[in-house]
Amino acid sequence: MLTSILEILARKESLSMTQLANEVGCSVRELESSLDQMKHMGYIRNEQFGQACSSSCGKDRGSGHCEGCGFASSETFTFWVLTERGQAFVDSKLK
Amino acid sequence: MKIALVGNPNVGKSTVFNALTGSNQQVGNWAGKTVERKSGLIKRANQQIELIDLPGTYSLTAYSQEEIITREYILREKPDVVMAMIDASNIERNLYLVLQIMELSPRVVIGLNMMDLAQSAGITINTTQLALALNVPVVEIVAAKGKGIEEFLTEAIRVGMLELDPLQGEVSYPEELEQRIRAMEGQLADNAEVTRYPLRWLALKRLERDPEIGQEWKSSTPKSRNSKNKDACCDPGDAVNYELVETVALPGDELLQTYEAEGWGKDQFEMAFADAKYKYISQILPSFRTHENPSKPTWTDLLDKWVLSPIWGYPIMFLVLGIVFWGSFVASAPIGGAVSQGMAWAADVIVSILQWGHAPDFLQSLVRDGIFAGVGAVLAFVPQIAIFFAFFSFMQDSGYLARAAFLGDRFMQLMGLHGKSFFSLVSGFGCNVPGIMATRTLEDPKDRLITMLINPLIPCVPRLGVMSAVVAAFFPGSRGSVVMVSLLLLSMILVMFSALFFRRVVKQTERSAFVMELPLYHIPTLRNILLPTWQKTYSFLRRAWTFILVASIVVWVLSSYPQGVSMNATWAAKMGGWLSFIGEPLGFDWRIMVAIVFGFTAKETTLSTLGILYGVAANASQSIAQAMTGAMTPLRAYTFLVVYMLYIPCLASVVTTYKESGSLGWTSFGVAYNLILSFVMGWIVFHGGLALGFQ
Repeated sequence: MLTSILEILARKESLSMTQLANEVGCSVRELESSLDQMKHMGYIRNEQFGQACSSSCGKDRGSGHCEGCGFASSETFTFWVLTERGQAFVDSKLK
Repeated sequence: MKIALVGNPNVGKSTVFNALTGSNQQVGNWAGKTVERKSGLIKRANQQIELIDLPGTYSLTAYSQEEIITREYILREKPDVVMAMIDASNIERNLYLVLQIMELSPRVVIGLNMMDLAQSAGITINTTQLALALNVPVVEIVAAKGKGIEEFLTEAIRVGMLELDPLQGEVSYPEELEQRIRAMEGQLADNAEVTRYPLRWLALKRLERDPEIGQEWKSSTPKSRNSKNKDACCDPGDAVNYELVETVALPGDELLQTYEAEGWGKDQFEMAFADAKYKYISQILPSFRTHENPSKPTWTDLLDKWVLSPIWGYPIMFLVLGIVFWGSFVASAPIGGAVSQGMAWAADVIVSILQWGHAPDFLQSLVRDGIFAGVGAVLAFVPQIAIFFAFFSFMQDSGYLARAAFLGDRFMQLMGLHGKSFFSLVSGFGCNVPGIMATRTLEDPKDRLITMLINPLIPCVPRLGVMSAVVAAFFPGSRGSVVMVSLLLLSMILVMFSALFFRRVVKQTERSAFVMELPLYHIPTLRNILLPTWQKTYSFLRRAWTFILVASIVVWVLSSYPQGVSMNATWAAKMGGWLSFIGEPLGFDWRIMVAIVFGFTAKETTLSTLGILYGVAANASQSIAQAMTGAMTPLRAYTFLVVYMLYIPCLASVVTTYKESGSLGWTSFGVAYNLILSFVMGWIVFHGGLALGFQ
């Protein structure tokens, strides 16, 4: 299962957790557990992508790095990506 | 008797430890580590028991201090029994550690905690079946309520007092792995060190090239040393290598080299063992765990089947965007009209006061034709922009925005854009400045550069606001939402093709993919819609009183002087005239060109500039929409929208690109690209439209 997840991640296609769980053939809970373990082992990493504005920029100071932050979305996206080690592992499997 | 308490973090270990030991605890640190060590003494059935609370850990590899401490304790101190606590509501994650503990210690008792949480989530665990699957005693506990703790300890004492080690379940690995494990066991069996460890576990760790195990062998084996000295050194360039070099051969090294040559290195073994354990867990799970209505999909699952579908997802996305724009136009129309009339009335009142006070003519003109025409033109569209922000907040809080971003990324895959780049583009929908800054998360400088260069093609909120104002004027009703969606579609297509073009220019490496965690759908709260709507509207209003006010005064000066001449002979008209060679092929008069130039400072100023140059306040009976529709045809308006959407966002975004890229050359290239692309697209739209008979 873990190897399958890495191989799917190495495809140049993004997936949601549910889609990946369906593809691997496990539940989302099992998938989360596997992702956590592989993160721990250093094959994948968990990244959070939010806006570049700091929390003090919420009210648009109109200068410096806060320019336009009043308009920026506060949405934060969480996603998993392969690390170099994970990529090397998949590459070795494909050889 | 020694008992070790082991488990994942937050599994309730400390609660059990505190309940069993009470105040009879010793707290310190593990030798040489910063991790807390807790032990306590308990007396039960004439037995003095030392209970050790080992650090919470998810596995027993050698990646963290907690893991090393836990496994070293079990290996070296050899507790009589290990009490392994697991969370019933997240049993998949917890069993992985249990399987590793079972490879280390022959005496294990499982405490199944949080049964109440599992039950409330519709999960039922048959403890008898779990015990049979692993061949380990299992005790149900609810640590937070103190239930089952004493029984857990009693069972541990019973197992600890057994004369012979019980037979536990064992993970069976695929045959090709089992053969290699057996071969390694054969190599290690003759070594005296082995008696300290379970042989199978040691073989697994050697195959994984566990660094801690190797280290231990090095320190416990007599070292043979080869020394190099200056005289012995034949190569003059080798003069730095005078240190003693350790040449300790670890048992099984030759076998490892053979496997390495066969493609079985450290990572391959480590992953294969972990994989087998997870496979084993998913095999045994159905025998003891049942989930109430496991196949019943949630609302999120049902909706995602359509919303994230590669076929239906995109039509749904454009339909949602269409509804957002349609709602913005329709709902705001009466309020916008009232604000326009209110602004005209306010201008009349203030100018009357100025006339009553015998204020000079230029001041009256500045207030009426400059400030009210300019700032008023922008303020008239604040209701529309606020409603758009409210819809945007609704999409975000309901969980749809994350899905739209996810779909957008799949759209970008076609052009080989880096997965993470898309999130910078999503930020660009708010404002391009934070969007460009968000590229900092991209490790590859080429990815960063490409994302920075395409970010300005994403229409930011101020741009969308001005665009929707112009669209509302020229394409009222539901036609407006179709026009807005067509413009956004054009923007996405150009982002795709620009990404493809820049990949060739910058020679970007291959894209990488990701797995995204999507939030559950839910009905947004009123607060979560109103608060961000107010914050964004407030930002817009602040800019109206700063940027737009200053720009309005400058445009008024340019369009009012030299005094006494007609509008077509003012400085503004001359300035627009210089740019007529660009504007005329697109059907733009000088006013449009001046508005485009002023939009460079901040996009909203385009609207205020149009308000002044079309003389909105001079004729209080007409709104900016009426003034513009009288001077432009719908085709020219659409052409203007295309150019406006695609040319440089604003001065701040250019400065940010320069700061972030550190290259004047790439910044200039980006500016030139945007300008050329916008006017070329404008020309295509205008002449294409004329050829198709549009006006």
